Amino acid sequence: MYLKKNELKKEEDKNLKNPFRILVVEDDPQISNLLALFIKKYGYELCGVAESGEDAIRLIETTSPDVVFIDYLLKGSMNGIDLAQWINKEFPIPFIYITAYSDDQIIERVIHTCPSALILKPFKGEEIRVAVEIIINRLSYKKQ
Amino acid sequence: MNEFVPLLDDRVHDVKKFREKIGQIPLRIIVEGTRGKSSTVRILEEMMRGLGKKTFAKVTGEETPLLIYNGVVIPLYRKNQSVFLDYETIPTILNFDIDAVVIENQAITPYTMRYLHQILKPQHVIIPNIRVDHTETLGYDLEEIVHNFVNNYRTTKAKINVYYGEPLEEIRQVVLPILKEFAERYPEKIKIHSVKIPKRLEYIPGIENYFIDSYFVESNFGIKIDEVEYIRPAGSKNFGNTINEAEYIRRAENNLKINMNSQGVRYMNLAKVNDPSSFMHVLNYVLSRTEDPVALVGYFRSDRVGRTKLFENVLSDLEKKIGPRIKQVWLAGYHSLHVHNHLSPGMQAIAHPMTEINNIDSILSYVKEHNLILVTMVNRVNPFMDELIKQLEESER
Repeated sequence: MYLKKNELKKEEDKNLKNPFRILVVEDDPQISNLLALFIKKYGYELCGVAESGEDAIRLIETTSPDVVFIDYLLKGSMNGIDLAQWINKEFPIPFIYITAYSDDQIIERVIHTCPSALILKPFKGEEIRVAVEIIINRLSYKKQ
Repeated sequence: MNEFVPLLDDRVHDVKKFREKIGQIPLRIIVEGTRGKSSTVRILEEMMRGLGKKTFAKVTGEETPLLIYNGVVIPLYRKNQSVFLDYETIPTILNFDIDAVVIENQAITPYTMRYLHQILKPQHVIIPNIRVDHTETLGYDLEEIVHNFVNNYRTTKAKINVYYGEPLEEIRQVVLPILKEFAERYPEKIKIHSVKIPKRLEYIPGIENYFIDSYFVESNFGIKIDEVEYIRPAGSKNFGNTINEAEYIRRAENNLKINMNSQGVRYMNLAKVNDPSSFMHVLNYVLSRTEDPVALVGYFRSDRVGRTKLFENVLSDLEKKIGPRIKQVWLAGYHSLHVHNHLSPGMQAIAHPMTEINNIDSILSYVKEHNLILVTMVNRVNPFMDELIKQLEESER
């Protein structure tokens, strides 16, 4: 459970051989490009980028990602919460919200949809890695 | 499993390493007290993150405990009620660099509070306030409750800085002397920092959460948080605005605004404000924001008889303190008839004991028809409040 720095590096190398597959749902190309950069940097695989909830559903069904990053606000008729509710019902995989809102009320609202994590904007690469590693650890616990 | 016994299962071999790891974090802070602990942790986490410190925080949350690491919020959905330790997620976070850890200490029993002290061995303890709640386990009155908090510091081997920020003078006069007396008797164990709230802002419930944190940051890092607008720490690409006084007040007032749902029912959810002093503070704030009359609805829990007694006194005094602004009172749950029988004659005349879930529709119709603001009170976690708040929050405007 407790890894040293060189062990963390080994974990990243392991990710390169068997990458964790991530779908990004984000309507701001600047943010999705940044996320894509971090995803690749840490040895995960970007399996798609969607700007709307509707596009995200199509990509989830066709690419079967391991985790989905969801922006709170999206293009199209669905917002991030609508998409999360669809995932919970139809395709139960972990998802992580990306949001600029840190108000308690917004956080309470999104937590009702049972995300694995929320990342507050502005974020750095390490925050992405922390959130993904927590999901990987939780999944490995479930397997045990 | 007893809800107060920390989770020790087949991963018990990790506990020693867990304690070692968490004990190595350079800055260790516990936030404890009665009201506003989660908010105080969240604000401090935000301030520290703004200062470029990699901060790990844990709050109990209203429904789900939350871990926060450097802006990543991780909800813990646990099957049992283990209060402190989470062997799935916290160890993963402890693998990353952490400059400071801030953990909320739930004031449930003296044992649970001391347990966290033994695990974390904090150098700093932040107490926004200590008020009368959990009388069944923490103490019969305020003095006894404060002594139970003081007991958290008896076994410390290193000196703890204790910050105390109560804005309500009548409570401060009771609590501060007890803390100071202990500090004078055991100067090697604690040092008290008494944080004063500006008079002009004392009317805002929870204002101490912000001021105690900004005092902490100033006294430990030499930075006045209100003078900081934009921070780019040296050697870091991280940047962002840290919360300041104006932003805190904006958020606090937003949380304290009277809501209206799609049915036109105006309401204020104070059911989670479980101690009488805090309830009266918030109620007075709400009443100062409107001239409209209000109605109260409270639920009494069988396992919170101490709280029932305290709120019985609150309701009895309301007629004197607030007078004709209260138009109706609905009392639900255990001992509601007993509470009703102990109210003043004026309150008895407008109070309805033995209110049930199936009365909720008629309560909402009544408050709408008579243009009342419905204020929920006493206990949040119970089926009656679940249903009432669900109906109030549905399609909120």
